[in-house]
Amino acid sequence: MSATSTMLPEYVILGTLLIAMLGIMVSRAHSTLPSWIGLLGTIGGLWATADLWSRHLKPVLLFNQSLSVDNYSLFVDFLVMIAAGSTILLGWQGEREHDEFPVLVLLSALGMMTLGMSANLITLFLGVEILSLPLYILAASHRDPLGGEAGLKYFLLGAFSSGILLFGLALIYGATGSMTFTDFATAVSSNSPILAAGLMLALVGILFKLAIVPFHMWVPDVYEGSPDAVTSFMAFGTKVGAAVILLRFLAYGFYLSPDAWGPLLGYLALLTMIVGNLVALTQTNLKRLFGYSGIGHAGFLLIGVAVHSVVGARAMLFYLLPYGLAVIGAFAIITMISNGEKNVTIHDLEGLAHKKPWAAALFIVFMLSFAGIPLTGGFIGKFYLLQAALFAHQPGLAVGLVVGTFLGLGAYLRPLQAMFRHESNEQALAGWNVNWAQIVVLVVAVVGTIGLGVYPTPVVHMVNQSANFFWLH
Amino acid sequence: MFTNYTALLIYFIVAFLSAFGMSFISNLLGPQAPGGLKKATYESGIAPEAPVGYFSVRFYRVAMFFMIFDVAVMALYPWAISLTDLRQAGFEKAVFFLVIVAFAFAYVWNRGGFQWD
Repeated sequence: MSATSTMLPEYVILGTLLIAMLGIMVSRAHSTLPSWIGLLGTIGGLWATADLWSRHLKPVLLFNQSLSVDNYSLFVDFLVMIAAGSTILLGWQGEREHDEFPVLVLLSALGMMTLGMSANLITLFLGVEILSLPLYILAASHRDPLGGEAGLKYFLLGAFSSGILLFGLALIYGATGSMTFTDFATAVSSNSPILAAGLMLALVGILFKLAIVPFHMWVPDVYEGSPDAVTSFMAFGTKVGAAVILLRFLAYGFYLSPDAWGPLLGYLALLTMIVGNLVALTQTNLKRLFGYSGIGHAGFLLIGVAVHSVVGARAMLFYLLPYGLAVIGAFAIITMISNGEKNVTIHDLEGLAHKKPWAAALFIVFMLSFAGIPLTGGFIGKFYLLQAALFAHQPGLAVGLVVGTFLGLGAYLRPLQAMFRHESNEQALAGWNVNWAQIVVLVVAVVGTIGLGVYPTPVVHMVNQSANFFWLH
Repeated sequence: MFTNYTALLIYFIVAFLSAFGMSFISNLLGPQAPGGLKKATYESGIAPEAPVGYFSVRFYRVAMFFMIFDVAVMALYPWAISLTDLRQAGFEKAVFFLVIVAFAFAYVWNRGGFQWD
């Protein structure tokens, strides 16, 4: 197989991106043409991914071992296509005035796909940067003080963390003399202090993108100031990109020395689960609430990496899907309420259950999936993570997961309680606005969330095929 | 190990001392006449008009585009040096790169990025 055919999803997205830019050039301002091109491109990317998946290819290393196309990267492509497509749909109305919106979303998605395939230090850094740079612009695309704060804060902290990451990668290269992940474990100086320092700095850089406590301070402000569709993309796509590169980086490069990073990540996971969900309890702004809950969920994801087992890797990879579906569904409701103009608070939800019962019912489904209630995908995801923690003889992580889930449940029930309040505030649903694009996202999200909760077998099967590279290298 | 670098260390100290020593001595011995025209904005020899708080954002835009395309084209220098080793594959990839850069240029042009007002 040539590089062109195994990397078809990536080439489709790259081509779509360029065609969408051509579309912006030829169409009048604020037309829907770029969004249509972007949407068709993500569907084409999904089709290309499904086609590659169905051929059961052996893992291929491309470009001098810098990219690895295997089931793992294809599963990541699936997730990223869902994230990018739903983001373009959610921004259909609210981001119409920003012509470049779909182009930037696709560019960032390309970075996430690069992270899914990355097998050496250069593509790792390249992927992180391609992911981040369009997001800096997207975060600041609303010209109000909050948007400016979000963009500047994200840019400065992101640039700083990129510097730390790059320094770490340079030290790893210096200690091992190789760029390829698989060479690190067998390098002569595999227990040198320089390698350890490099690993720690690189971990800081990646954990910053994943928003792990104590590198999470940027999340709430950036989520609050960014447009709704962009926040949903950050909450889903960025987490996918950062989590999968963290897993592959450690599983390929440092699988012989899990004692060096496993306990550290375990304690950070514990801290992140508790802190994220605890602070989410006190939030009234819904985007800040999802910001903190996203931090908590990043802690759950980190369990899968910290236990350093095939079961853990599968659990983490699986958890990304129900989490992401709940995110895009919840944000579809938020964009309906905010109409792209205001920051939705808990008070804006008041009376939703009486005025728009269907929207309220769907919102309940997504909240329960976040909280991990049975019959939703979130429950199955948490179940597998719990299983992974117990299989690895880490009862502390299991207890932390349960405590974090309980705290999170409290945080997610507060907006639901507001929805059922009778004495609703008058302006609560003043800007209510629904278009077909949000309906599409809602249908995908709710079918996926309940489908994963009732019949997870196909996805579990896919995940099992994706994360079996572990001990082969 | 350190003995090899002792000369370098001495060099750094001497460089540091001479640089800061010179500015210190000139500050100490030079004539001091603060205020007046010295504090005025230098505007190509013309008397400055009203004080301006901010630069026009257009300067930043031009500078930014210049930087972006300059850096992009700079990537061609290492390519040109190693072209004999890269042969046709390297040439094709550079052409692809240039097409993308040219496309970006056309995009910026079309979107009015080079218009002064």
